[in-house]
Amino acid sequence: MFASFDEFVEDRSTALLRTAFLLTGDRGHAEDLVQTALLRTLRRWSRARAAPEAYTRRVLVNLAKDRIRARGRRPPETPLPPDVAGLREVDAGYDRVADRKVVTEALAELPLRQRQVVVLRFVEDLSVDQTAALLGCTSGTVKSYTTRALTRLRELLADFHDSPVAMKETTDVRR
Amino acid sequence: MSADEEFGRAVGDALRRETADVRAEPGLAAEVRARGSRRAWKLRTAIGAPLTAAAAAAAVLVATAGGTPEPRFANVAQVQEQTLRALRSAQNQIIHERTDYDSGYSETWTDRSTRRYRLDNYSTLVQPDGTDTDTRTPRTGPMHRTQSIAGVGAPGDVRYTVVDWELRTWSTNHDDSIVLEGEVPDILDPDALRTAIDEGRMEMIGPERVGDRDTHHLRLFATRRGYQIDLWVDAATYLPVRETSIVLGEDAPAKPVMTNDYTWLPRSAENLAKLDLVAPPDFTRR
Repeated sequence: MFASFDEFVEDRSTALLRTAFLLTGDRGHAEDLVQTALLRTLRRWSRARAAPEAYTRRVLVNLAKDRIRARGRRPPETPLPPDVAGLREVDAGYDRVADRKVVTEALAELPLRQRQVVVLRFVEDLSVDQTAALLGCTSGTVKSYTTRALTRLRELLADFHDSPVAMKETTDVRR
Repeated sequence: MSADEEFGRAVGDALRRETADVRAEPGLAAEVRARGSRRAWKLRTAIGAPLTAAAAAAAVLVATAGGTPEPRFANVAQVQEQTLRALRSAQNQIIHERTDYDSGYSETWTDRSTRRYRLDNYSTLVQPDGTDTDTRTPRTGPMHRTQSIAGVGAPGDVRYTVVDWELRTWSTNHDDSIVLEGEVPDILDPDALRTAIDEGRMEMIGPERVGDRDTHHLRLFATRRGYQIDLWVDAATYLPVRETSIVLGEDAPAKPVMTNDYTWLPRSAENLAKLDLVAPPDFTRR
């Protein structure tokens, strides 16, 4: 347990800001959302202090959802391709382009729910059940969104690899 | 581990690497506290339009200004309108607000006419001073003043001073951010109160005593914002004397998030002096 709200902020604000950044794709919005989420945590500190990060993360996820919806920037959901196994595999090679934030950019292309499950499951390392509880849906829904998200990420990262310009830039960056 | 799981973990690792340069600014906690204090301030500059309320009537006794109950009927719309009128007419008063938390309380003085406010936080929790070996266990002590914030300016252009009494530091800042929608509506602002009523609904609970005052107890369901706000307005002046906020939803706490008690003070030199904040000369500027 954190001794005080200030200590919690000092210890966890960077992690929360990174989560907000990945959820919104915008540094300025992320900072705004983190401040708002922390403000709500401060107001409820007597209850939230037992698990302030979990509480703040929940607020953050909800705020990010509201913000994105309010701005009408929510990309449409894409149907799950019929043959997931037939998609190109880029797992082995995508890390060569990590320095250019291409994975972050690909993440920003995902619909909100898919983005949320990727961030919560694989950046925050929450379990399927924890993610479902936080998002207010079933574990099955989380799994479904996860599959769709990873499928779409494979496509997006494969497109990057297929671009001669991108590959050249990648090579230059890595040199 | 499935291929999806493995790919997901690799994506997660890549995202962590790509966001390694994203770091929160130091002093964020003070920023948040300052922003929190603006709730008491940000909406008190507005002048509201007349309320057009049409709500179901609830029969209550209305006290006269002289304090003698007069047996006539009032309804929630009437009390709402009187409350908004009172709020609009009280702009030159100094508002003292006390907010109680589990571990302490805060006091805020606000002067709408000059757009100034001051907030003092008090707590039994002691800030770590760097010598604590177990920083995860809250250290407590006697109730003490932890932080003071004084601000001046319109929302979006607020300059404020922060004094940390525990760390013996002070700082100044300029805040040009716009407050997000969705926060607790400020019931001291007639516009915000009207908007919150329009978004949700208000009910009359009935007459109640708060301290030594006769009040009307109103309940505002600010459902779009996720809050239930209970409001007690003085039966004679119709100015708010108490407010509690409860979060609606599945994670709602069993008791109010905040309890605010309001006192409406005359514009005297003594009360205006409450707004001044000067750091002691031996404090370090951050």
